[in-house]
Amino acid sequence: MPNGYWDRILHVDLTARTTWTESLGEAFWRRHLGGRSLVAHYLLSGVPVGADPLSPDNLLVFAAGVMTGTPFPGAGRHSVGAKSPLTGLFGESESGGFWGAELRHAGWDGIVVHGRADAPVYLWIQEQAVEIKDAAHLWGRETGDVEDTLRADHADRLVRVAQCGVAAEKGVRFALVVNDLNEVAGRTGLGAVMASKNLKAIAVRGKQKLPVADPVPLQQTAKWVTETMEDKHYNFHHYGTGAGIVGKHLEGHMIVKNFQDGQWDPELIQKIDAKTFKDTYVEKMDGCYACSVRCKKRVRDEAMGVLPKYGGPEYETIGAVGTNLTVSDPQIVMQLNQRLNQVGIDAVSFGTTVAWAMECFDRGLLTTEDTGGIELHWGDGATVLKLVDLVARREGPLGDLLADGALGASRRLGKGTEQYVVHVKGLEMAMHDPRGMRHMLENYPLTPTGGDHTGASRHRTSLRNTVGLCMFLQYDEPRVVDLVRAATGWDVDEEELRTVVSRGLSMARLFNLREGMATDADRLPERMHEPLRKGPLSDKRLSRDEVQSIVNTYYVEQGWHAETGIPLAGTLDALGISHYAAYAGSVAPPAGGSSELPPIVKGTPAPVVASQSQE
Amino acid sequence: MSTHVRVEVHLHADLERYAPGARRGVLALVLPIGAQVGDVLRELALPADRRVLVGLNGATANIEQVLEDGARIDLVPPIAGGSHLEDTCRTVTGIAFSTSI
Repeated sequence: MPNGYWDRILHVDLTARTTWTESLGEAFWRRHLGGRSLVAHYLLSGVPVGADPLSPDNLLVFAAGVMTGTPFPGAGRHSVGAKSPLTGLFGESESGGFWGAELRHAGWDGIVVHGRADAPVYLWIQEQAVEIKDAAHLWGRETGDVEDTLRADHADRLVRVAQCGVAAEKGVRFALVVNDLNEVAGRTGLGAVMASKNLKAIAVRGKQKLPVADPVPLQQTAKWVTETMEDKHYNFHHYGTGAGIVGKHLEGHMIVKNFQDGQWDPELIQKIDAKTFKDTYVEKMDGCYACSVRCKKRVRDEAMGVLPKYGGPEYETIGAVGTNLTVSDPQIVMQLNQRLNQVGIDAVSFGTTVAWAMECFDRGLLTTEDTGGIELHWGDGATVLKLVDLVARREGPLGDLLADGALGASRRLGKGTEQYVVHVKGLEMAMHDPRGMRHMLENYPLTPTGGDHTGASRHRTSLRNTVGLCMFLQYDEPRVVDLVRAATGWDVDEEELRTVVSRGLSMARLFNLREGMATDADRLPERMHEPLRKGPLSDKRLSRDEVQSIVNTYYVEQGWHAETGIPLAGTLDALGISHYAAYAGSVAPPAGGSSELPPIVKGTPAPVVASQSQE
Repeated sequence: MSTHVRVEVHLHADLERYAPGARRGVLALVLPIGAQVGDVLRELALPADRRVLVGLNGATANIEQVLEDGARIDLVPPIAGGSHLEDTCRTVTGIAFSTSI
């Protein structure tokens, strides 16, 4: 087996209750490296076209990257993927913590879950021994309870648990997969897929050391992070994320009232900035596997029953359920963070769906008749807190409506409410506004998963998501190349890594196109073409032309058709992934493309493609 | 008649390093009447190449603005929480932010 890998994928067929091991071979690993590309490989080749995401036909993939579980900062990430029940498209999310590293220490590079068990089960993985065990005693219980129970059942407090929550059991379309209670594969509803298979949890214990070609660069990198902490990682180390909220607010693009306002009350903003949490409620900063940056807040508030084991509000949560809903009470924001982790719901989708509902209520389009008597007002944190549980249980007309996510809810409600959903491809937009952040303009329309803020349409984040590295670590590209070389012993260079990334993006693109994604899904929501109502950016307008030009230029960069964005046959050939076209349903890669690697790989600038519209 | 103004400066995130004696990154400065926002930055000796957002009483400030007694100044580094990418629409220390979108 190659260095950096065990070359073992665990397949679990829950219908037949069997497991088997797949060896993908060194050539495959060198072409794909892991993470998102591994997800794309299985979704394209293993999920039937048009499959219902909550049916046994879907696959749920847990994919480590080549770096996952090697001992240096940032190497604790893994990817989770499936066809998304929220968007019907490529579902992928990355998570940190310890679970991914533990899986690798147990001797596995990934898990592919097939079918559906006839009753709730969990997987118990102890090194290479795998058992499918009864989970009737875990079903219906919250995440903290489940982890405690599994650790007690297996008499080992170091068992690492990935699980779906009670919200997933109810088919909440933005239910997530959580590991280590506070680390989440949050977006695209992967928890709902897990629960649809009657799979409650995957508990892992492993103690093997991954074989690496040359451990010295990894050790040197760990040392470098420690030595340069104050210079390179100060903000993450001391505050986690959320230390920039006051700044974003000053600039006028903090997310407020469903992306309508860029500013709110500056005094209220201060109350839920990361600094306030740090000064008042953070018990300690904690970290992921092997990472000295320790960017995770752990908060305690005895009066409110808020416990450190559920972490603390990070930026996206503070934005989505705090500023976006104008909830300014830090104690409520902490309770919301905890509750969302306890029931297993994505904070971003929850907050943006509630924001949509509040706007519709404001406009008289959603009434108390629709909500079962519940009034929705901006700033009413107590009601938002109640909504977490209503949504998690799909309880009452409002809980059930919102559990479908903002787009699904708007289609059920009708009355023209779809125009107020701030989403891309069905995934609600995260807490970064393209009207104030240039690179979000380039990111959101093109990220395979939709309104995902992590820049996953671009090289840097895509590479991190492929190799299993955290994007917060300030490693430059040459260092990442060195790390991959050190782990594998392969003589890779930057161009080769760009090729790997491009493969993964083209594969995800093929999947989306075959699942019926229209080309005009590569755009921003209508709200982004309205000016912000408040603040210094309120005179700015984003033009559709500019967005279209960015989109078409990206197509050319990736070696896709300049108008339709379908990967060209020549590009697939040059990337060595033509065989995936057989899984692309009725999507026919257009002839053309020169069988040369696309411009983004070669590092040649693509010509900027001007929009042809009349705007 | 007072000859000075007292202002409260909040240094956010890693900028708190530039006021090591300040409690929780908050310090009080006493400056002569007529002092401007830029004088605060000079007083703190922030490195010239640091990009900083400057707020005066909750709104974006420009460095020529004259300070009144009791003013609150926020100095914030441009961090996009959750996204590693640095924005390109910032200017150097002391010059008021304006977006380039």
